[in-house]
Amino acid sequence: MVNMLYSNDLKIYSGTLPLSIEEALEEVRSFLKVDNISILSQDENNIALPLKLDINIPSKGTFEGIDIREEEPILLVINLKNYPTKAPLIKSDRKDFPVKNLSHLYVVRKNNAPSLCLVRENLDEWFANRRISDLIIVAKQWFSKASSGQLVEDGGEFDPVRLEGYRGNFIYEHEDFVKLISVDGDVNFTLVNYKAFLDDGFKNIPTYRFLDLSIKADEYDEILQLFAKLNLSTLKEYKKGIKDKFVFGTGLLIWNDRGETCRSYNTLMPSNYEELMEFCSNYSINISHSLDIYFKRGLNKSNVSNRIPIIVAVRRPKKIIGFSSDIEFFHFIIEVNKEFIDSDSISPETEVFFLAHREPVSSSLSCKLSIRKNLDKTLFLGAGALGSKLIFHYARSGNYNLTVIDNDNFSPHNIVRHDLFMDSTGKNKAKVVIEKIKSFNNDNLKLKSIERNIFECGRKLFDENKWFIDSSASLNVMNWIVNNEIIQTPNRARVEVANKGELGFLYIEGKNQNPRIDDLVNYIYFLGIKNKNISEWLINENKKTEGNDYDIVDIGVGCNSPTVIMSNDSMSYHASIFSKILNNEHDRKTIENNGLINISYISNDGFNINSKRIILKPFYIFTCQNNSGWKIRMSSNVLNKIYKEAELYGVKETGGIFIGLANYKTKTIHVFDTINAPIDSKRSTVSFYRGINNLPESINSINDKTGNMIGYIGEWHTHPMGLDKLSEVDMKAIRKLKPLNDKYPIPTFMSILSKDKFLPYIF
Amino acid sequence: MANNKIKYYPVNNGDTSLITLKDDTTIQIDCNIREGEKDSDDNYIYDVKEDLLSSIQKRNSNPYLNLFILTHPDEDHCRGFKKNYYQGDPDNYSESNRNNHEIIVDEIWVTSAIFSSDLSDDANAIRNEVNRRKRLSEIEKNKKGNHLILIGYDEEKKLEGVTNYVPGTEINVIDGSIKENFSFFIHAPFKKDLIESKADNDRNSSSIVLQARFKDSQLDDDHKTFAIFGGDADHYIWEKIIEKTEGNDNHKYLKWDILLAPHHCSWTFFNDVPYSNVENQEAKDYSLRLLEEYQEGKGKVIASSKKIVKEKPNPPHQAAKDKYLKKINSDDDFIELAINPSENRPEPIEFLISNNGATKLPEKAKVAITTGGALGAPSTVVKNG
Repeated sequence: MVNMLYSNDLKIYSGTLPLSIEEALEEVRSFLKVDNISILSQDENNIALPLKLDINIPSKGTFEGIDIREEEPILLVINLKNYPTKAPLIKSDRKDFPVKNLSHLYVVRKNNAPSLCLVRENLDEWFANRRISDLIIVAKQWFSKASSGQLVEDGGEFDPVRLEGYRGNFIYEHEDFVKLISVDGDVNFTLVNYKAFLDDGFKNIPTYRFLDLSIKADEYDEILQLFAKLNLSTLKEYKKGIKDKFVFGTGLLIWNDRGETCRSYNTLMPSNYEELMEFCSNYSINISHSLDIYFKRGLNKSNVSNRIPIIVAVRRPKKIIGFSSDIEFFHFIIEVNKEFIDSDSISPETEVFFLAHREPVSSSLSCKLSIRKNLDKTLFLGAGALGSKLIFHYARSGNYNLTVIDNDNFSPHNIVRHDLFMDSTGKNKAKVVIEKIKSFNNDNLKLKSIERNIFECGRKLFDENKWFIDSSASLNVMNWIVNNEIIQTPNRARVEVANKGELGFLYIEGKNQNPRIDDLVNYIYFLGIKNKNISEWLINENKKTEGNDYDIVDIGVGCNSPTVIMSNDSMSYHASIFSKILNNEHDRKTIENNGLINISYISNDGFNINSKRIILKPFYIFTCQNNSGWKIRMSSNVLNKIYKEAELYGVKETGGIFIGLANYKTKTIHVFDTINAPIDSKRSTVSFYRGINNLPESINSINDKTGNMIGYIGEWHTHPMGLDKLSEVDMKAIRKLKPLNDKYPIPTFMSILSKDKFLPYIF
Repeated sequence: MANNKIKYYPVNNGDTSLITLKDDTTIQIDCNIREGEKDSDDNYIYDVKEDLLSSIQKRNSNPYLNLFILTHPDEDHCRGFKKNYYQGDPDNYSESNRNNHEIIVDEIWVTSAIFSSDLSDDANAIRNEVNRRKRLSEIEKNKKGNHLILIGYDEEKKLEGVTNYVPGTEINVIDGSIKENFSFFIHAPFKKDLIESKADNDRNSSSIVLQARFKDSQLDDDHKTFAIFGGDADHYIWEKIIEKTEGNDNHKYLKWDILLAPHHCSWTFFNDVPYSNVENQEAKDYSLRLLEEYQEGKGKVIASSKKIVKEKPNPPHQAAKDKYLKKINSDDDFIELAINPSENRPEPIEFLISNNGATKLPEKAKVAITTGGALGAPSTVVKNG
């Protein structure tokens, strides 16, 4: 029988599994209602679970007959080391999966299962807020959408191939290259010259910036004349450029000269010249013919790096999402060695790799900063837009005792808000930021960059710093910090900017991480009840998720395309305030042992600005009594309020409800307020009926104002006669509430205030 | 871009369906909004109102439907109208109406059966609203919230002057706006049945019967996907519908991708009742032909009824279910709302409508950071000991 599944090629995994993955497996079993799931080894770092998903497909058959089935076999690939920080991948287990007809698949290497592109932006970040069953739900939606032709929700535009694993960038304006393509003549290629930076990264992650795009040729003769010109200018520029660490060269832009359109996807990216020829022939493009001429005219010899940049233009049936034309470009480097150059031909095994396209950005940044005092050793996570500004504020004020962590590289679009410049393109942000700081001072011994993911950093790094400032704006990082006890830096802060730059939040934890960073972040949502700017932001955020049939939203140019709308001036405003407060509170001058939230606001027209601080006392922390693994973190004023209410009714039982939220990732309930029992409640010495008068309206109003972030989260009542546990009647109430709460879902949280104890139970 | 969708709510023996078009137009056909948490069988009553409020649009913070169609004024097709839908001048919609989440109905479609006797409170509320709308001046009648359409014959001329759509016509004007991708074909009620139903006081035979017609784009040559809503019409009505439609060479108006099984999956669609009478047990040829010849692709049949069992009382009839099952592709294509996905906690089923037919919408993912809403625990009295 023909082996049609990738999973048949994988071996059973025999190692042990971390607890987090065991729990995930249990969730998958329960969600899919299967008792046994094979655990296969995909590679040394990943396990693969072969699963079958029931897919809803259209009643009259799939869109354009695409081969999506009512039962789709998938591989759920889980990273053994970094789950759940690293989200699992969903791959089709079918070797005959119709990859050529589907968008939203990542490119793959040969003989690898194709991976589904499920969400916009970063899957790990999306997963920070979701459970593994949700990932499966979204995968089911993906298949269902594919089957009904709804995968691209873009008003009928063409979705380009998703690139993952590319090496380097080609920088040019899409529109300029489209103008070079001609289908009137009998040629199917033209020349494009470039400038490439010969820096440390050039070998592995090269960047080619294309220039002089006035070249256009309809006839071979013209092209040949052009070659001659280019040779001269290229060599001349090369001599000049080599001193400046860059080089000019010539590449090829090729296309189908009959103007044919092609809708098929080719997610298998070529790794050698033979595969590149096949790739091109799939789009009816003859690459070898173009290269023959290229070689005959000696153009190959002008490429000092032994690399030939190739851009393949494919005409699609509809306009490409994010661009104004129907041309999709693919970018390759043929890595010819000297031998091949001399032989004027390319062997089929010659290495080929693919690159990404970046649109050049011409705008620049400027920032005038004030000078302040020198500070103790500080660790920054994130050298992005906000992080870079903050770091440069610190550095320019003379503080060189800095370590910066970031594993991301600088892209041209970062220039819009970032404090680095175009010469940093393709380089690690942390490294360049530190290099820049080093360039303007001599005392650079204490400056350090770490080009790694924070999740891979050991305890020492966090112990040796007095301050840890997180500007990653990542929920995933926050969850990790909260769940990871090794992060014991004495002072921890987080900065973020929201609502298109109107709102800035600075959080500083209290002493001994109380209030903790997640207490503070969630408290901001609670403030939405009274603060109209925060409320407006939360409502806007909530609207983004409402009204969609599917969770996959807003598919753009690429799943990792930059889409955040926020101007540099707004960002700078908030960064300045954060920097001033962090400098001022470096020794906890004002806040002492408490936590701090600072809300800065700048309206989009710039006429309204303000900055407001809120100092929060340590939260009460409770572990639930029934060993469900949940914790309760309660704002200090809440417990005082309920004690007062209990006192008021003396020997009679009374109670109320809690306002807050639940985080399933950290298994924490955050309580920020209480609403006392409504007037239709009934109290006696042995029982308490919690009524409903006006309660739904109050909760509705809280839900509305906080974009559903804050709401009802649990119940409390007193046992004034001293029973230190749930009564039978209480258990009945819990059984009544649980199905109602499961619907949202929130855990069912019931607590008892006895004579001298607060006893929480979570089910 | 939004999609065309149809949602069928689990409302026991009764009907509540919601069509949402690509341009966010919402059309509700019948309502059976029950009160309380659980029904007499101890199964949870699905909160139709809460779902409706999150599914329809708001205008100036007020929830509204573009169109409400009452197939016929029996209680199981209009229960909850009085409490949950706004009745009166739309300009007088107050803070208190908003707090009660009363839904404004821009346009109402009714038959003259709304003037029959012995109506329930909810049907009376609709009749009062119809009377209010019919008396308005021409200018007032054109306001959202005042539109009124009469479907079929009006023997007593009680709705004289009201816009009238008659069986055999295709309508693509909803709430005063022309729909490029959607229309209704009106099959029934016929004049004779409206007169007889009044005489017999049997409102089922006065039911509006509609085919909803969808297409993805106005560039498509014709509509591609169809849903039939048959109210409580019995096989005598269906015989006439099929005969007339075929006779006029209008076969396309009988096609269906989704069929709401008439009269809550009753045997009356196939033959007379009681089913126990042997002479009634053979299904009529025309009923079977509707299922066989006019079914598009793998058609879906929706049973909007109690859980279907062999025992009485009925409808629903097990024999009817068996018949449907024989005529469709797989058992999964027969959706019994009372047990979907579970008997204890039924939920609505929603279909995405495209040119490729109907696709059941999958479940949505939930956020791990959550909070409870107002209509859950806070609306529930809790007894603690």
